[in-house]
Amino acid sequence: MIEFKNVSKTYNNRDFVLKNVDLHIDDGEFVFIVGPSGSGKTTLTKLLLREEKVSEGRIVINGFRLDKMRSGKVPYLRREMGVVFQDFRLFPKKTVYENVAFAMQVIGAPHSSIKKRVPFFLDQVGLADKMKSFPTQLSGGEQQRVALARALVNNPEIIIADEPTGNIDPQMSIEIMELLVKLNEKLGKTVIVVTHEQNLVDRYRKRVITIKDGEILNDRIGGMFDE
Amino acid sequence: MSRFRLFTFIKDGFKGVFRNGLMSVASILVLFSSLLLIGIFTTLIKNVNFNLEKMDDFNELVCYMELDTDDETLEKAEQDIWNLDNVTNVLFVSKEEALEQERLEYGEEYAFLFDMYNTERANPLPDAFRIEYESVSKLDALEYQLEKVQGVQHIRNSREIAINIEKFKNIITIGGGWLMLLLVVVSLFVISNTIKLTFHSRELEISIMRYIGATKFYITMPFVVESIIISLVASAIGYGLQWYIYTFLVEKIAIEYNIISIVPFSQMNNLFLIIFFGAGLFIGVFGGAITIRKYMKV
Ligand SMILES: Nc1ncnc2c1ncn2[C@@H]1O[C@H](COP(=O)(O)OP(=O)(O)OP(=O)(O)O)[C@@H](O)[C@H]1O
Ligand SMILES: [Mg+2]
Repeated sequence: MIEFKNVSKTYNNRDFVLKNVDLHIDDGEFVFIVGPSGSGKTTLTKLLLREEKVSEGRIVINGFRLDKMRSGKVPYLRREMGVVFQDFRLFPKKTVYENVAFAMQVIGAPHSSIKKRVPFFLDQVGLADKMKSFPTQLSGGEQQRVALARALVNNPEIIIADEPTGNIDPQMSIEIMELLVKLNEKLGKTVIVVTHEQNLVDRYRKRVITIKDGEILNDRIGGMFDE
Repeated sequence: MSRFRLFTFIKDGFKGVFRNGLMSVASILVLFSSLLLIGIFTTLIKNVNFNLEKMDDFNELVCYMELDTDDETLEKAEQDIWNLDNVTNVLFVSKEEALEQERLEYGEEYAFLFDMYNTERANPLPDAFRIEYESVSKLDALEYQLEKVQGVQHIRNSREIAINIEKFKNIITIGGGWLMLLLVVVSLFVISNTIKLTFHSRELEISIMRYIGATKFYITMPFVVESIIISLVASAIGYGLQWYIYTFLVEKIAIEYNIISIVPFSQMNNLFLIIFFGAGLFIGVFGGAITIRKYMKV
């Protein structure tokens, strides 16, 4: 469960990037976050990941109080979430398998469990036959699916995707979106997708939160894109 | 921490060293030259002090007694001198011993000159006390008190030399100390720069690790290991060279030319180990740590 109460954010005490945001996302929800460029969408995801601290207000995620969290605890908060970025952020010199395995090594997972889980999640994203390839040998859509497998491999409850289709052609974008929807429906993950792409949002009729100038303009279930 | 993780840290540490090839070599060079300079200064300071301490006559004064002081007064005087502050040793030199010394100094040729004192004339030399003292700075007080001891006629000291030696010691120790501090700071700076470079070359990796939820400990360990590797290599090279310089150059030269005496290497070894490995590790780890603190946020 994710809860924002009266959350405001300024960088260096200047203009408000987010203003009095109240937000509640239940476990297992699928949420689009849309809004014009510079409206504060990425900032919102950074607050979720405790990459940035709130200036005012309170954020609670799965029982963690982010506004009061000591920095030593932040890694454990982040293990509750899997993140995907527009630019994939894969290691070019590691294979697909190694890229995904890395996420498990980093949190000290045992070797035996790495060997089981990595192929399983690569299969889930449809890349079982590309395990030995390097990212540079894959299409954008495939690279994003590797990133998704990496986000999933430690079994987080929440998936956060900031413009996951921003660098991918439209056909592939739909594939990625289908995959995110499947993760939500089949595995019960909470999925938060930040996007610019109206046609994708309109296609699924999920909950859509529109942000403008740092404020929530609209929050509609089964909504359509509007700016 | 599992064995696997420890292995990963060490592997990543070595990777860092090689990834920054030139920069690592540069840091090793700077660190090891600094350490070697510190070692050489220590060698200098230790040996100068060693030699100065052997010339202990300089912290000594001679206290001459009235010409015909009786034994009782002499005994009392010796007691009184022993009881004075700052006095570390008192040696009685009788007028007979003094005469004998003079005779030896003049040599056989002039021995006849001295013979008459044994037979015809009274010994013209006074009894005396050789007094060793601890601190030159309290010499005035000591002399003042000595003059008041019964039977004391006059006092001869080697104050000038003693003061100069003390000054020399201080200059070497303080100057050497500042120079060493400077070298430590320079080395810290260079090491921290190397680690900064690794940080930049691993930015992507670090950002991924942070999002996945790696602990700060896990992320920083490879950098700590990298700085430890750099310092250990620098320490080992520096120590080896110091050993070579000391045993083959310094000790050989000293034996060959016999000018000064040298503290044997075995007596310096512990100090050298502390300097090279202790200071080396300190500089390496601390230099790495300041960079990590500066660039690493959660
Ligand atoms: N680290 C920062 N320091 C100062 N200002 C920042 C920082 N990050 C973002 N901002 C400002 O905050 C505002 C919101 O930025 P944010 O990245 O959240 O927008 P966004 O909605 O994600 O935009 P886009 O759709 O272009 O990605 C912008 O005006 C931006 O300039
Ligand atoms: Mg953004």
